[in-house]
Amino acid sequence: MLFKKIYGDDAKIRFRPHNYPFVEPGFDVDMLVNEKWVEMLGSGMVHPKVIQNMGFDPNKYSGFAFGLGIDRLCMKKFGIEDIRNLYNMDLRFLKQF
Amino acid sequence: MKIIKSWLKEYIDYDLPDTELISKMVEAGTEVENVIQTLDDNVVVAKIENIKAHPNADKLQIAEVTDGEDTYTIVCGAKNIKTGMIVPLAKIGTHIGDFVISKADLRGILSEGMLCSERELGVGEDNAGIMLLSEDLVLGKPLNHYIPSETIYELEITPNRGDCLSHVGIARELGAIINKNVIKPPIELAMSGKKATDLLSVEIIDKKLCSQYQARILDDITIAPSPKWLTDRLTLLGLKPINNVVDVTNYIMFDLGQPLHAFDYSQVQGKQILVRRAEKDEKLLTLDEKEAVFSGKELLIADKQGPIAVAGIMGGLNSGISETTKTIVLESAVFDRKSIRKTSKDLLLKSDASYRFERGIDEGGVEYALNKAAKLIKEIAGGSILSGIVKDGVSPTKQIMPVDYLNINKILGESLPNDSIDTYLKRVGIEAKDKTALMPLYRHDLEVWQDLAEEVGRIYGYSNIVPQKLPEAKTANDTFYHKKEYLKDKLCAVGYSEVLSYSFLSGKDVEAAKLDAKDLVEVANPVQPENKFMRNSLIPKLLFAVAKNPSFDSTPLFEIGNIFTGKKESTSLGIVCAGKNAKSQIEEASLLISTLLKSEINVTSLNRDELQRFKIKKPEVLYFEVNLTNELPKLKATESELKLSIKKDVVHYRPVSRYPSITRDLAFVLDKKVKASEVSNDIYEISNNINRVELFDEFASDKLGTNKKNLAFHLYIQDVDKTMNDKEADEIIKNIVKNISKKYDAKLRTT
Repeated sequence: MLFKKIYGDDAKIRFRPHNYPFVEPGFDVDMLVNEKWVEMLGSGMVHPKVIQNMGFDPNKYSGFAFGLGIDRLCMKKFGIEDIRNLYNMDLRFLKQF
Repeated sequence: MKIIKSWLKEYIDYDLPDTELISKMVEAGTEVENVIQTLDDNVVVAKIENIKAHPNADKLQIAEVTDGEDTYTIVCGAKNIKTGMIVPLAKIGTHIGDFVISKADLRGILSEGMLCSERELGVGEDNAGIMLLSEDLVLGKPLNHYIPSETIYELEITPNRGDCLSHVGIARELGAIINKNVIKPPIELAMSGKKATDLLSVEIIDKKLCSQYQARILDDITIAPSPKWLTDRLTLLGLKPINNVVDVTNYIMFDLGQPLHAFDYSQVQGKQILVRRAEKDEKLLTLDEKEAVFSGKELLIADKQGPIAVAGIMGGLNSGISETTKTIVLESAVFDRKSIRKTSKDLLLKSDASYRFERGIDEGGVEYALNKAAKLIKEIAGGSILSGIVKDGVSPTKQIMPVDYLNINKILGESLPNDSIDTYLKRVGIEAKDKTALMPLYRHDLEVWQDLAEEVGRIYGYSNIVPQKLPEAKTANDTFYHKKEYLKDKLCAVGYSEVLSYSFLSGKDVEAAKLDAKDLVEVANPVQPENKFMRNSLIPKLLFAVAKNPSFDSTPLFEIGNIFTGKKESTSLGIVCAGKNAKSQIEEASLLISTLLKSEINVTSLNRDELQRFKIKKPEVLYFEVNLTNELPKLKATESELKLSIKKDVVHYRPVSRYPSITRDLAFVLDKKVKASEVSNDIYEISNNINRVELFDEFASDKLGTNKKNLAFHLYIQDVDKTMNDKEADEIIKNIVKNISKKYDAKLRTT
């Protein structure tokens, strides 16, 4: 839904299993960009140990984890060629948005 | 991790095209980074049509070569080429090892590829001249149609999957995905009458750090280079062949995932191997010819006299296999993962063996690997295997876990029957039956029911799960985050630009800002060594931002980000104004912020010395900073007031040119109803060289005509490849005026 909202209704995404220590199961979310799958974010179900450490009962509570890097989402949205442009503090770049 | 296809196929019979295999592996969680053909498709059969001398080099010749369709000019240094010969042609783009063939100017002649020798193609040893091919091969066909080529998969194995760091491991994983069994034939050994236990005994002193230790002895062996099939495979994996014994131990490690070590028996003193912790200041010269000095925590393999290996990481130089070795002790063991990792880090000593022990090996495969290696060494190095295994330790037991069918279905959002869940678990080697499951001895990452849910999910296929919508929920608008966004909106609305900078400061930054390094948090392990400090204020970077934008007359900037002071991390707002209108702009911001947050704001001005240190050319620079962690909670407003604005204008992103641009102003008089954003969108469409269209004036007046208004824009025109010149800019401006005038019946306003 989020991806459709940002990138339009024909945005194609997939969930690909991946290991991150703080989630289980864990995923990468890829989006199809120019016929190639591009990793957009890491995600998963919050690991029971993390929930436990927060002081909750992992048998009662579960949580979604989405590692949205806003810079990466923005880069793909506008076709920015280098992610570092977002941090360059160049007004010729920033004023375009 | 490199996997050789023909090797993989020894363990699993599959007939999938590579593309399909890759997508199946990726969907189940193993990233395939690359598929390499040792003989690239770009190497084709070609015929030499003509040869002439190189005008500028005696040792080079120019060959005209055809692939049946096109003719290529190839500069070649080999002496054996003749007109009419059939040869392998590596076209532009061919990968040969790590090398890619590109168009090359060789002494003034452009070479469109390369003719190759056997060794260059990795298909033989001959490197004296260009490889000769048979006359009956079809011109233009990839050579891998005629000569077997090896396929190598480069896989990314996540640290939790130590079981996948071998060919049999990947075969198991692939088998689980495509529902096929792994073929692992039993090893039959022919042994001599001599007993290994008569020559050696082993004792594990520290049983916590070594659960199993097994060794076999082989005698009368002949150390020599390995046969070609073996060195070929090791070379493809990127290993350097050493000798037949060492090569076999490496081969078995990449085959089964069990690291092995071979000792020269004659160098093991006192017929006994001890697995014990090091004593403080004990030393060992390891195989990399460096001396390791132990602290006392490390696990060692030792004989009566002292250490002979750092357990699971690297052998000692003295007891290593040499050309004169006749009798060997072959070690296959299980060492504690954490202890190996710690020792490897402490001693800065890493090996393919330690990499595998750290991630966990197949504790049920210790003897199998030992036997397979012994058999292979006997086959290629001769000699005989002594009967019996010298060993100590305990047999591993499989971990038991209840299968929580209900929760597994719940977390996956599915309703799979219990027996299907069992079946998916069995495919990955988990023996599931009647609500309990036994974990395979090669998996060390299955600890909680969520881990089992992941196994079920990835084998069942996440793509088979139908997405479900969560019930819609409203987020509160009085959160810290929301208020922060609200502040940003307010500042942007009065003309400020938001910048984002990195949280790190370099030594140079600290110097320019005259900060005291003692006040700053220093990163223990910085990503870039020079950026080792954490910022304790947003102002220095904002001042650098002012310096970085000299082409702007005025620079009202702000940043909201975290700062690090002592042990505290807090969110801060920094505001800087410079140049024209700096004073009125900073007053506007300070009034805005002080009203919203009900806090007092002190504006500071940069002095001449500071301007110089920050390399700012503008005469007046004013700034202030507010600690939002403390102040932002004071922001109280009604729901409607805290509404965030959503930008609806279309963004036309154009990369910023490194070369100077040209600024022009245009003002149009047109119908009052026309939206400024429509006009600017149309202006962007005229040329990709328009970096920015900025509306700077909009007013309606009857003086302009009935129902007319004035729209004025700044236009920034650039070229990403060169400096923009007046002539080209004029052309673009002419086009804009023509198009806008026509479309909106607009008149250009001249001043």
